[in-house]
Amino acid sequence: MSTQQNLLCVDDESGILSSLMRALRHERFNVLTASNSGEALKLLSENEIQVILIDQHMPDIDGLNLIKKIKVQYPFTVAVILSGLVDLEYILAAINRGDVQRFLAKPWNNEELKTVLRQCFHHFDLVHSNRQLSDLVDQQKKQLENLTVLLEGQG
Amino acid sequence: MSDKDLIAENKALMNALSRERKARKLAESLLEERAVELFLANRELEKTIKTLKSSNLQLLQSEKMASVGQLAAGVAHEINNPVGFISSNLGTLRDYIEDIRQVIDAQKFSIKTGIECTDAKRYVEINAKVIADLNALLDKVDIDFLMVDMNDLLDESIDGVNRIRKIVADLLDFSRTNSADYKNTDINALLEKTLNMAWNELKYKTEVNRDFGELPAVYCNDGKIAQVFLNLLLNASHAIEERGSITITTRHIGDDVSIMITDSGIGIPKNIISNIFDPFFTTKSVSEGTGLGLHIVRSVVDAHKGTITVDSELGEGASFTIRLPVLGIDA
Repeated sequence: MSTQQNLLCVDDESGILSSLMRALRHERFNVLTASNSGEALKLLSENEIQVILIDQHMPDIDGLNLIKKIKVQYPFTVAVILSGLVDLEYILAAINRGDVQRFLAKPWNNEELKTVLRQCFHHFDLVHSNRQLSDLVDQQKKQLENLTVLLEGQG
Repeated sequence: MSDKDLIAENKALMNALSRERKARKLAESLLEERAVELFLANRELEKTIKTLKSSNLQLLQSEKMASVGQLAAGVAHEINNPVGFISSNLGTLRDYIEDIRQVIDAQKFSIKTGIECTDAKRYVEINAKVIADLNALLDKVDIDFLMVDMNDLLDESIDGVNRIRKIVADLLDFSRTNSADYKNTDINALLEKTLNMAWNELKYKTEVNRDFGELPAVYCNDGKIAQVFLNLLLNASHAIEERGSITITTRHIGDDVSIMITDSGIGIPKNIISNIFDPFFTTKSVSEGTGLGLHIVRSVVDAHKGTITVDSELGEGASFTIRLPVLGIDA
């Protein structure tokens, strides 16, 4: 992938955002941060963001609802929830509905965080190239059909 | 009357007397039986009262636990946030220290090479290379960033630790059980402390406005009064569906202190407003409320010789006003 990889972290807690930026300093992707849903949506409109890491519990919006809102506009964004409260039912529902790719608990382990995020970017790339390839197949199929029609006309 | 007649009459009287005696004996023994039964029944009743008293105490305790439990989830989240960034920061700090250790090793090496080299010309050559390597390393680890960020990292982490310390201290303060002591209490400070405790519940949907007047110290059981404030604040928050406000007004009026907690929530229907202080009366589902919260509130206020009144319209929010005598119960 030649495009810049961007991660967006959303958390109302500035301590969390700066610790995430520190922990991910050496990663290949760029780290953008937002402390509320408005800032998050603004950054999403200005940048191509492949992966979002979102706090579950924020004053202005619930993390899962923000993901749903984002996915309407950016359906291919890969979402990870970072949560201080681990409610099993909530996690299962969120993952099984397909809104969330991964779930991380606070406190998290930096190495695990990096692995999870790398996998998320990898997942995005796979889906992206898969989409491009099927587009290519469709396009070539159409060309082949046109050619067949042309050949049959000549024959 | 002939002798014969007299004898017959006497006999009849004797018969009647013995019948009466018999009857009285029977009545006495019946009475005694009843008395024993009554005594036993009374003993049973006393036992039942004792059980009732102890289960009432258990209920009060479990209501307290329920309101603490409600807070626990919020507190867990509030503690996990700082623990989250502190532990991440410590992991990062270990990486920083590894980078700095490399720099120190390189510097040690450069000093050692300088000392060991005796040839001046060769020294210049070696020294140039060592310094170039060192500079490359300093660039690689971004030493200027590390030195600045390390301070920020520590400051932020220490802030986090202090936050956790405060949450735990508040929690301990709150669950204190030896609450039988009365003392002169700053009601505004007590409200502030209770707001801190409930903050995790409140902050997501309520804006809290404080209109605190100047108050004299109130002689009261501060633990119990804090529980009253907590119950009222949690109720206010539950009454708010999406977003709303809670206004707390305190005033010094005559010999009393008045505390008014007003919410912009759904309000209380007229037909149930007279029941809200009744034990076990609740509009919440079984898992959400015990129906004892406001009952306890009133019991505590009563014990302090205070009053509590409620003013509400459906859809217009609710306002609870407590008046506590400044001098408390011993005055």
